[in-house]
Amino acid sequence: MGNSGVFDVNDIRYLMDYQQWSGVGTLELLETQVASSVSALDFLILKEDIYDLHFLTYNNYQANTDNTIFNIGLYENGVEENATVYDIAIQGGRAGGTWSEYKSNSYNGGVMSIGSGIDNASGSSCNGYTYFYNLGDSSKYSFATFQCSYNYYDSAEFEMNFGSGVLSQASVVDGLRIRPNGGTFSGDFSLYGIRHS
Amino acid sequence: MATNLQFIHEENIYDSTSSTSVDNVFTASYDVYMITCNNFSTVGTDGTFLGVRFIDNSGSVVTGAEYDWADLELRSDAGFSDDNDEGATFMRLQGAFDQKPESTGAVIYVYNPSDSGSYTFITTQSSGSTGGNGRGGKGIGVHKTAETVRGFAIIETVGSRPYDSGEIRVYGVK
Repeated sequence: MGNSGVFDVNDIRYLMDYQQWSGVGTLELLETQVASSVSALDFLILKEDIYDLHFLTYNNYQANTDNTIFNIGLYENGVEENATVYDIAIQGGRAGGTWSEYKSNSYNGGVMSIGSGIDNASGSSCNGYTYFYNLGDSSKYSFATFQCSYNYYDSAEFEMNFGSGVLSQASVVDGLRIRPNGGTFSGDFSLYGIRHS
Repeated sequence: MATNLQFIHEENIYDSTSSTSVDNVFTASYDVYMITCNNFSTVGTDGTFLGVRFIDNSGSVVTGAEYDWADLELRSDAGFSDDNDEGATFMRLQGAFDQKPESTGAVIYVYNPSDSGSYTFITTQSSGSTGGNGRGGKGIGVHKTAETVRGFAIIETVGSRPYDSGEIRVYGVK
Protein backbone atom coordinates (compact mmCIF):
# COMPACT_ATOMS: atom_id res chain seq x y z
CA MET A 1 0.00 0.00 0.00
CA GLY A 2 1.15 3.53 -0.60
CA ASN A 3 1.80 5.84 2.33
CA SER A 4 3.58 9.03 3.25
CA GLY A 5 6.01 7.29 5.55
CA VAL A 6 3.80 7.67 8.59
CA PHE A 7 1.48 4.81 9.53
CA ASP A 8 -1.75 5.62 11.30
CA VAL A 9 -3.80 3.07 13.20
CA ASN A 10 -5.89 2.17 10.17
CA ASP A 11 -2.78 1.64 8.07
CA ILE A 12 -1.37 -0.72 10.66
CA ARG A 13 -4.60 -2.63 11.04
CA TYR A 14 -4.85 -2.98 7.28
CA LEU A 15 -1.31 -4.27 7.05
CA MET A 16 -1.83 -6.62 9.98
CA ASP A 17 -4.88 -8.11 8.28
CA TYR A 18 -2.70 -8.98 5.32
CA GLN A 19 0.29 -10.08 7.40
CA GLN A 20 2.39 -7.24 6.06
CA TRP A 21 3.07 -5.45 9.34
CA SER A 22 6.30 -6.74 10.79
CA GLY A 23 6.32 -4.62 13.89
CA VAL A 24 4.49 -7.19 15.93
CA GLY A 25 5.23 -10.74 16.94
CA THR A 26 4.60 -13.57 14.57
CA LEU A 27 2.76 -15.87 16.93
CA GLU A 28 -0.85 -14.70 16.76
CA LEU A 29 -3.21 -15.81 19.46
CA LEU A 30 -6.38 -17.01 17.79
CA GLU A 31 -8.24 -18.06 20.89
CA THR A 32 -7.81 -19.06 24.50
CA GLN A 33 -10.42 -21.25 26.12
CA VAL A 34 -10.80 -22.46 29.66
CA ALA A 35 -12.66 -25.75 29.89
CA SER A 36 -14.46 -26.78 33.03
CA SER A 37 -15.90 -30.28 33.23
CA VAL A 38 -16.85 -30.50 29.57
CA SER A 39 -16.94 -33.56 27.32
CA ALA A 40 -15.59 -31.67 24.30
CA LEU A 41 -14.09 -28.30 23.46
CA ASP A 42 -14.08 -26.80 19.96
CA PHE A 43 -11.79 -24.32 18.23
CA LEU A 44 -13.67 -23.20 15.14
CA ILE A 45 -11.76 -20.05 14.19
CA LEU A 46 -8.57 -21.34 12.63
CA LYS A 47 -8.05 -18.82 9.82
CA GLU A 48 -6.73 -21.80 7.89
CA ASP A 49 -6.78 -19.76 4.70
CA ILE A 50 -4.09 -17.54 6.24
CA TYR A 51 -2.07 -19.87 8.45
CA ASP A 52 -0.68 -23.21 7.34
CA LEU A 53 0.99 -23.83 10.68
CA HIS A 54 -0.91 -23.72 13.97
CA PHE A 55 0.35 -24.11 17.51
CA LEU A 56 -1.82 -25.30 20.39
CA THR A 57 -0.79 -25.29 24.04
CA TYR A 58 -2.62 -27.11 26.79
CA ASN A 59 -2.04 -26.53 30.44
CA ASN A 60 -3.53 -28.24 33.45
CA TYR A 61 -5.66 -30.68 31.46
CA GLN A 62 -7.40 -32.58 34.22
CA ALA A 63 -9.50 -35.63 33.46
CA ASN A 64 -12.59 -36.00 35.59
CA THR A 65 -12.67 -39.74 34.87
CA ASP A 66 -9.78 -42.08 35.54
CA ASN A 67 -8.00 -43.87 32.67
CA THR A 68 -9.24 -41.79 29.75
CA ILE A 69 -7.43 -40.80 26.58
CA PHE A 70 -6.96 -37.19 25.53
CA ASN A 71 -7.52 -36.75 21.76
CA ILE A 72 -7.76 -33.90 19.29
CA GLY A 73 -10.06 -34.51 16.35
CA LEU A 74 -10.48 -32.38 13.25
CA TYR A 75 -13.43 -30.74 11.54
CA GLU A 76 -13.89 -30.83 7.78
CA ASN A 77 -16.36 -28.36 6.36
CA GLY A 78 -17.94 -27.88 9.74
CA VAL A 79 -18.36 -31.58 10.47
CA GLU A 80 -16.26 -33.41 13.00
CA GLU A 81 -14.35 -36.29 11.43
CA ASN A 82 -14.53 -39.30 13.75
CA ALA A 83 -14.15 -42.17 11.31
CA THR A 84 -11.09 -44.44 11.26
CA VAL A 85 -9.17 -42.15 8.91
CA TYR A 86 -6.33 -41.03 11.16
CA ASP A 87 -2.83 -42.52 11.39
CA ILE A 88 -1.14 -42.07 14.72
CA ALA A 89 2.28 -42.99 16.14
CA ILE A 90 3.34 -42.11 19.68
CA GLN A 91 6.40 -42.85 21.75
CA GLY A 92 5.73 -43.11 25.46
CA GLY A 93 8.31 -43.11 28.23
CA ARG A 94 7.57 -43.57 31.92
CA ALA A 95 9.63 -42.44 34.85
CA GLY A 96 9.76 -46.02 36.07
CA GLY A 97 11.62 -47.07 32.95
CA THR A 98 8.89 -48.47 30.70
CA TRP A 99 9.02 -47.32 27.08
CA SER A 100 6.11 -48.04 24.79
CA GLU A 101 5.06 -47.58 21.18
CA TYR A 102 1.46 -46.69 20.51
CA LYS A 103 0.35 -46.76 16.89
CA SER A 104 -2.63 -47.20 14.61
CA ASN A 105 -3.33 -47.00 10.90
CA SER A 106 -7.05 -46.67 11.41
CA TYR A 107 -7.57 -44.47 14.41
CA ASN A 108 -10.82 -42.61 14.98
CA GLY A 109 -9.72 -40.50 17.93
CA GLY A 110 -7.99 -37.76 16.00
CA VAL A 111 -4.70 -36.46 14.72
CA MET A 112 -3.28 -36.10 18.22
CA SER A 113 -3.66 -38.57 21.06
CA ILE A 114 -1.87 -39.55 24.20
CA GLY A 115 -0.71 -43.11 24.51
CA SER A 116 -2.26 -44.28 27.75
CA GLY A 117 -4.93 -43.38 30.25
CA ILE A 118 -4.58 -40.27 32.41
CA ASP A 119 -4.75 -40.32 36.16
CA ASN A 120 -7.62 -38.19 37.41
CA ALA A 121 -6.24 -37.53 40.86
CA SER A 122 -6.36 -33.99 42.14
CA GLY A 123 -3.23 -32.12 41.09
CA SER A 124 -2.50 -34.54 38.29
CA SER A 125 -2.65 -32.99 34.84
CA CYS A 126 -1.49 -33.22 31.24
CA ASN A 127 0.57 -30.39 29.77
CA GLY A 128 2.03 -29.98 26.33
CA TYR A 129 1.79 -28.60 22.84
CA THR A 130 0.82 -29.62 19.32
CA TYR A 131 1.80 -28.23 15.92
CA PHE A 132 -0.74 -28.64 13.11
CA TYR A 133 0.46 -28.54 9.50
CA ASN A 134 -1.38 -27.74 6.32
CA LEU A 135 -4.92 -27.66 7.67
CA GLY A 136 -6.24 -25.38 4.96
CA ASP A 137 -4.99 -27.18 1.84
CA SER A 138 -7.85 -29.07 0.19
CA SER A 139 -5.46 -31.05 -1.99
CA LYS A 140 -3.28 -32.55 0.72
CA TYR A 141 -3.42 -34.38 4.03
CA SER A 142 -3.17 -32.61 7.38
CA PHE A 143 -0.49 -33.47 9.93
CA ALA A 144 0.41 -32.94 13.57
CA THR A 145 3.42 -33.30 15.84
CA PHE A 146 3.10 -33.10 19.59
CA GLN A 147 4.76 -33.54 22.96
CA CYS A 148 3.19 -33.75 26.40
CA SER A 149 3.50 -35.27 29.84
CA TYR A 150 0.97 -36.59 32.35
CA ASN A 151 0.53 -39.13 35.09
CA TYR A 152 -0.42 -42.60 33.92
CA TYR A 153 -3.60 -43.69 35.70
CA ASP A 154 -2.15 -46.91 37.07
CA SER A 155 -0.06 -45.97 40.13
CA ALA A 156 0.19 -42.37 38.85
CA GLU A 157 3.50 -43.04 37.14
CA PHE A 158 4.79 -39.99 35.31
CA GLU A 159 4.79 -40.44 31.53
CA MET A 160 5.91 -38.37 28.58
CA ASN A 161 4.67 -38.75 25.01
CA PHE A 162 5.83 -37.39 21.72
CA GLY A 163 4.25 -38.33 18.48
CA SER A 164 2.85 -37.59 15.10
CA GLY A 165 -0.53 -37.91 13.44
CA VAL A 166 -2.06 -37.70 10.00
CA LEU A 167 -5.57 -37.14 8.72
CA SER A 168 -5.19 -39.43 5.73
CA GLN A 169 -7.55 -37.70 3.38
CA ALA A 170 -7.19 -34.49 1.45
CA SER A 171 -9.53 -31.84 2.83
CA VAL A 172 -9.85 -28.40 4.33
CA VAL A 173 -9.77 -28.62 8.11
CA ASP A 174 -11.73 -25.79 9.68
CA GLY A 175 -11.96 -26.80 13.29
CA LEU A 176 -10.32 -28.67 16.16
CA ARG A 177 -12.11 -30.65 18.83
CA ILE A 178 -10.51 -31.49 22.15
CA ARG A 179 -12.20 -34.71 23.17
CA PRO A 180 -11.41 -37.49 25.60
CA ASN A 181 -12.63 -40.98 24.87
CA GLY A 182 -14.93 -40.76 27.85
CA GLY A 183 -15.89 -38.58 30.77
CA THR A 184 -15.23 -34.88 31.05
CA PHE A 185 -12.17 -32.69 31.47
CA SER A 186 -10.98 -29.26 32.51
CA GLY A 187 -7.99 -27.23 31.36
CA ASP A 188 -6.56 -24.18 29.64
CA PHE A 189 -6.05 -24.19 25.88
CA SER A 190 -4.54 -21.55 23.60
CA LEU A 191 -4.43 -21.76 19.83
CA TYR A 192 -2.02 -19.67 17.78
CA GLY A 193 -1.43 -19.09 14.11
CA ILE A 194 2.19 -18.69 13.10
CA ARG A 195 2.57 -15.69 10.82
CA HIS A 196 4.90 -15.87 7.92
CA SER A 197 5.13 -12.40 6.49
CA MET B 1 12.31 -17.89 28.02
CA ALA B 2 11.45 -16.91 24.49
CA THR B 3 8.84 -14.22 24.19
CA ASN B 4 8.00 -14.43 20.53
CA LEU B 5 8.98 -15.35 17.01
CA GLN B 6 10.36 -12.90 14.50
CA PHE B 7 9.74 -13.76 10.89
CA ILE B 8 12.92 -13.62 8.81
CA HIS B 9 12.49 -15.35 5.49
CA GLU B 10 10.17 -17.46 3.36
CA GLU B 11 11.08 -19.78 0.51
CA ASN B 12 8.46 -21.42 -1.69
CA ILE B 13 9.14 -24.39 -3.96
CA TYR B 14 7.23 -24.70 -7.20
CA ASP B 15 9.63 -26.65 -9.43
CA SER B 16 11.24 -30.06 -9.19
CA THR B 17 14.38 -30.04 -7.04
CA SER B 18 16.24 -32.15 -4.50
CA SER B 19 17.79 -29.25 -2.59
CA THR B 20 16.60 -25.79 -1.59
CA SER B 21 19.14 -23.33 -0.19
CA VAL B 22 18.15 -20.59 2.21
CA ASP B 23 21.17 -18.34 2.63
CA ASN B 24 21.95 -15.32 4.80
CA VAL B 25 19.31 -15.92 7.43
CA PHE B 26 21.44 -16.63 10.51
CA THR B 27 23.06 -13.62 12.14
CA ALA B 28 24.25 -12.60 15.56
CA SER B 29 20.79 -11.21 16.28
CA TYR B 30 19.49 -14.54 17.58
CA ASP B 31 20.96 -17.60 19.25
CA VAL B 32 18.00 -19.80 18.38
CA TYR B 33 16.06 -20.05 15.14
CA MET B 34 12.90 -21.90 14.22
CA ILE B 35 12.53 -23.32 10.72
CA THR B 36 9.18 -24.61 9.55
CA CYS B 37 8.81 -26.90 6.56
CA ASN B 38 5.38 -27.54 5.19
CA ASN B 39 3.62 -29.05 2.24
CA PHE B 40 6.55 -30.96 0.72
CA SER B 41 5.48 -33.59 -1.84
CA THR B 42 7.59 -35.60 -4.26
CA VAL B 43 7.33 -35.54 -8.03
CA GLY B 44 7.21 -39.33 -8.24
CA THR B 45 5.48 -41.92 -6.14
CA ASP B 46 8.53 -43.17 -4.25
CA GLY B 47 8.99 -41.81 -0.76
CA THR B 48 11.90 -39.91 0.70
CA PHE B 49 12.94 -37.89 3.75
CA LEU B 50 13.81 -34.28 4.39
CA GLY B 51 17.37 -33.53 5.44
CA VAL B 52 19.28 -30.48 6.61
CA ARG B 53 22.67 -29.12 5.62
CA PHE B 54 24.21 -25.82 6.61
CA ILE B 55 25.71 -23.05 4.51
CA ASP B 56 29.08 -21.84 5.75
CA ASN B 57 30.27 -18.27 5.99
CA SER B 58 31.58 -18.30 2.44
CA GLY B 59 28.21 -19.25 1.05
CA SER B 60 28.95 -22.90 0.32
CA VAL B 61 26.59 -25.69 1.30
CA VAL B 62 28.50 -27.99 3.63
CA THR B 63 28.33 -31.39 1.94
CA GLY B 64 31.24 -33.02 3.74
CA ALA B 65 30.93 -35.74 6.36
CA GLU B 66 30.53 -33.22 9.18
CA TYR B 67 27.15 -34.15 10.64
CA ASP B 68 25.88 -36.53 13.32
CA TRP B 69 22.18 -37.17 13.76
CA ALA B 70 19.72 -39.47 15.51
CA ASP B 71 15.98 -39.67 14.95
CA LEU B 72 13.30 -42.00 16.25
CA GLU B 73 11.07 -43.04 13.39
CA LEU B 74 7.43 -43.22 14.50
CA ARG B 75 5.37 -45.44 12.23
CA SER B 76 1.62 -45.90 12.30
CA ASP B 77 1.91 -49.30 10.57
CA ALA B 78 4.91 -51.02 12.13
CA GLY B 79 7.40 -50.98 14.95
CA PHE B 80 9.40 -47.82 15.52
CA SER B 81 13.06 -47.69 14.60
CA ASP B 82 16.11 -45.84 15.86
CA ASP B 83 17.86 -44.23 12.93
CA ASN B 84 21.14 -42.42 13.20
CA ASP B 85 24.44 -41.71 11.52
CA GLU B 86 27.83 -40.29 12.44
CA GLY B 87 30.05 -38.53 9.97
CA ALA B 88 27.09 -38.07 7.67
CA THR B 89 26.67 -35.57 4.86
CA PHE B 90 23.27 -34.38 6.12
CA MET B 91 20.95 -34.63 9.11
CA ARG B 92 17.75 -36.54 8.39
CA LEU B 93 14.15 -36.07 9.54
CA GLN B 94 12.11 -39.27 9.69
CA GLY B 95 8.70 -37.86 8.75
CA ALA B 96 8.77 -39.52 5.33
CA PHE B 97 6.63 -38.30 2.45
CA ASP B 98 5.84 -38.94 -1.18
CA GLN B 99 3.50 -37.71 -3.87
CA LYS B 100 0.53 -35.43 -3.28
CA PRO B 101 -1.87 -35.71 -1.44
CA GLU B 102 0.75 -37.15 0.88
CA SER B 103 3.30 -34.66 2.16
CA THR B 104 5.19 -33.72 5.29
CA GLY B 105 5.51 -30.98 7.85
CA ALA B 106 8.32 -30.27 10.28
CA VAL B 107 9.58 -27.82 12.87
CA ILE B 108 13.34 -27.52 13.27
CA TYR B 109 15.11 -25.52 15.94
CA VAL B 110 18.67 -24.38 15.23
CA TYR B 111 21.05 -23.46 18.05
CA ASN B 112 24.22 -21.35 17.90
CA PRO B 113 24.58 -20.97 14.11
CA SER B 114 26.48 -17.70 14.24
CA ASP B 115 28.89 -18.69 17.01
CA SER B 116 32.20 -19.40 15.29
CA GLY B 117 33.50 -21.20 18.37
CA SER B 118 30.64 -23.66 18.71
CA TYR B 119 29.10 -26.53 16.81
CA THR B 120 25.60 -25.86 15.46
CA PHE B 121 22.83 -28.07 16.79
CA ILE B 122 19.28 -28.88 15.75
CA THR B 123 16.27 -30.53 17.30
CA THR B 124 13.53 -31.71 15.00
CA GLN B 125 9.99 -32.99 14.90
CA SER B 126 8.27 -34.11 11.74
CA SER B 127 5.08 -35.74 10.55
CA GLY B 128 4.48 -37.13 7.09
CA SER B 129 2.74 -39.78 5.10
CA THR B 130 4.10 -42.25 2.58
CA GLY B 131 2.62 -45.36 1.03
CA GLY B 132 -0.61 -44.72 2.87
CA ASN B 133 1.04 -44.82 6.29
CA GLY B 134 1.77 -42.11 8.79
CA ARG B 135 5.42 -41.49 9.59
CA GLY B 136 6.77 -39.22 12.26
CA GLY B 137 10.15 -38.32 13.64
CA LYS B 138 11.68 -36.81 16.72
CA GLY B 139 15.36 -36.16 16.45
CA ILE B 140 18.58 -34.30 17.03
CA GLY B 141 21.53 -33.31 14.88
CA VAL B 142 24.83 -31.51 15.04
CA HIS B 143 27.23 -29.95 12.57
CA LYS B 144 30.49 -30.95 14.23
CA THR B 145 32.66 -28.15 12.96
CA ALA B 146 33.15 -25.04 15.04
CA GLU B 147 32.35 -22.32 12.53
CA THR B 148 29.75 -19.74 11.70
CA VAL B 149 26.97 -20.94 9.45
CA ARG B 150 24.85 -18.30 7.79
CA GLY B 151 22.15 -20.42 6.16
CA PHE B 152 20.93 -23.90 5.44
CA ALA B 153 19.67 -26.18 2.72
CA ILE B 154 16.66 -28.45 2.90
CA ILE B 155 17.24 -31.56 0.82
CA GLU B 156 15.53 -34.84 0.06
CA THR B 157 17.91 -37.45 1.31
CA VAL B 158 17.57 -40.21 -1.29
CA GLY B 159 18.89 -37.82 -3.90
CA SER B 160 16.83 -39.10 -6.81
CA ARG B 161 13.31 -38.42 -5.59
CA PRO B 162 12.82 -34.69 -6.02
CA TYR B 163 9.97 -32.64 -4.58
CA ASP B 164 8.05 -29.97 -6.43
CA SER B 165 6.15 -28.28 -3.63
CA GLY B 166 7.00 -26.97 -0.23
CA GLU B 167 7.29 -23.90 1.95
CA ILE B 168 10.20 -23.08 4.21
CA ARG B 169 10.04 -20.31 6.77
CA VAL B 170 12.66 -19.02 9.14
CA TYR B 171 12.03 -17.26 12.43
CA GLY B 172 14.29 -15.82 15.05
CA VAL B 173 13.33 -16.85 18.56
CA LYS B 174 13.34 -13.83 20.84
